[in-house]
Amino acid sequence: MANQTFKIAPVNRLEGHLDLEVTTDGNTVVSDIKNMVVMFRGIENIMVKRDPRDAPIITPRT
Amino acid sequence: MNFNITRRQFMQYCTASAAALGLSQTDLLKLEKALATPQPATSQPSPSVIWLTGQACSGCPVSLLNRVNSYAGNPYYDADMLNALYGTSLPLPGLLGNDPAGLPLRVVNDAADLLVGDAVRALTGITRSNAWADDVSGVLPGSLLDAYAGGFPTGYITLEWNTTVMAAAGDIPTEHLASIRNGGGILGAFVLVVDGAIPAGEERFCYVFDNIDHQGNKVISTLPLGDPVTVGEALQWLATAPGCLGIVAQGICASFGGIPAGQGNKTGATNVADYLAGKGINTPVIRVPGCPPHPDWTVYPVAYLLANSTTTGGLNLAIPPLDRYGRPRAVFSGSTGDDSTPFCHDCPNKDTQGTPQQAQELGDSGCVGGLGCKGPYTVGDCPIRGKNTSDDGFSMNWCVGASGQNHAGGPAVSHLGEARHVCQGCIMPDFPDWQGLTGNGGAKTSKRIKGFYNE
Repeated sequence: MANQTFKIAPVNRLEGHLDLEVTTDGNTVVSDIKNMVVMFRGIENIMVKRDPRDAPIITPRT
Repeated sequence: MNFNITRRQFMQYCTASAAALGLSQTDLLKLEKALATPQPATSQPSPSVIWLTGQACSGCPVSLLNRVNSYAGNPYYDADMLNALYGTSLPLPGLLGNDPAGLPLRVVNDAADLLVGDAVRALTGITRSNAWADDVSGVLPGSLLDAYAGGFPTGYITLEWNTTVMAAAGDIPTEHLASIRNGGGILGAFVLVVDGAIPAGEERFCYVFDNIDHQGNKVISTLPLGDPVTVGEALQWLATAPGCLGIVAQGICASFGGIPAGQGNKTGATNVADYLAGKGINTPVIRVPGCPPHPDWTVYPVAYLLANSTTTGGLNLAIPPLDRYGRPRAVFSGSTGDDSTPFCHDCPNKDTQGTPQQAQELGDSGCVGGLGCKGPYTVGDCPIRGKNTSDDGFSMNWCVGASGQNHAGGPAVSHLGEARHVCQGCIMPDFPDWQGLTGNGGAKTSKRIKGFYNE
């Protein structure tokens, strides 16, 4: 059978910021799967030039 | 394209998800039981809430779920998230759609229903048996609550969409979201809760769903079919819905930008109100900051909106009285009821003589004001309400000091533990760009939100 591709977006339970693109052989076998994290905040950039004592405030909240 | 799943596939998917979460066999059994015997929607449907997630962690919904779970019978906060997430011990109204075998899929997980009645009870000290709507400010004739002829027996609202707790993924819940947005909710209305910041600078930094529903139609008609929808686009779409009663900006990120909008951010993250103002949308926004917010802070404005907004002669919104930061005054003012008195006024570390014992280093008892505590610049009810409030109305502890008082009206209790940390000011616009943690970081005039400080 022909390959079939479908997308699951959003993926639940993960706060929604994940998409899956699944390729099957048209039956039950998944031949390929790609996941995409669709949210970016840049916490590392926000940490730059900050007082290091702020790190334990900010990094747990990711 | 359509992605039709059978009930069996759905169960397998859930089981796989559960396994990934590390659930035990017992929990899996409970999950299966709950999914196999979905309960019918209640005859008195509950008001709809759509919860949109931007640049957020999961802290806000988790905070809320922990609260909900305490009422499920846990005397202490063992935080059995499984019950809350999978609804095994709470009613499960809210069915959506049918799979090809004709069995209902429970898309909306109502374990996350906000237990409005309980939160209001906790706010007011009125016992649960009272009509909870009266706890807010009375049921107005013709109000959304009045339409239920006596309010909600359970005090639940229906959480129609929240990607952290809903039981389905992909285009099925998205279709449900569209139906609620387009008037399919109770009385065609809904309250929008948003957590997380909105990347206004680069919208592509946060997508929330794809613009295709289970039937293959567009979800948002103005956007290309199948394209990912950014949180900003989704927010505009929801905020401009005729049935959108108002927006509760949940958490510091949605309220004031929070960590994603901290100095050095590359995404142009901003808060919900500023984002909508930039788009010319004036849907009212209630800020409920906190990292995470206390569940009571979240539920109060939702309850207020629903209890006091009326539909007579068009939609008349009732926004709870806000303080100068745009937060509900009733829950963000301490015992003074004043939005300029810092919460030190209520802090248990404050000596009765007004001369607090000063802590010399973190871990000492006494006032931590010399160690960078942001309490002197923070207005809130944290010392009174505490955190981790248990079913009997006692809080277990909070960031700074000994536990809070019993806000149901009883005496203060001996605490289980003292955090003895400094306040980080997570309910104020400057978070997280205060000065360093342990330096005596003073208040700085807010850079992001102008006009909130007098100095």
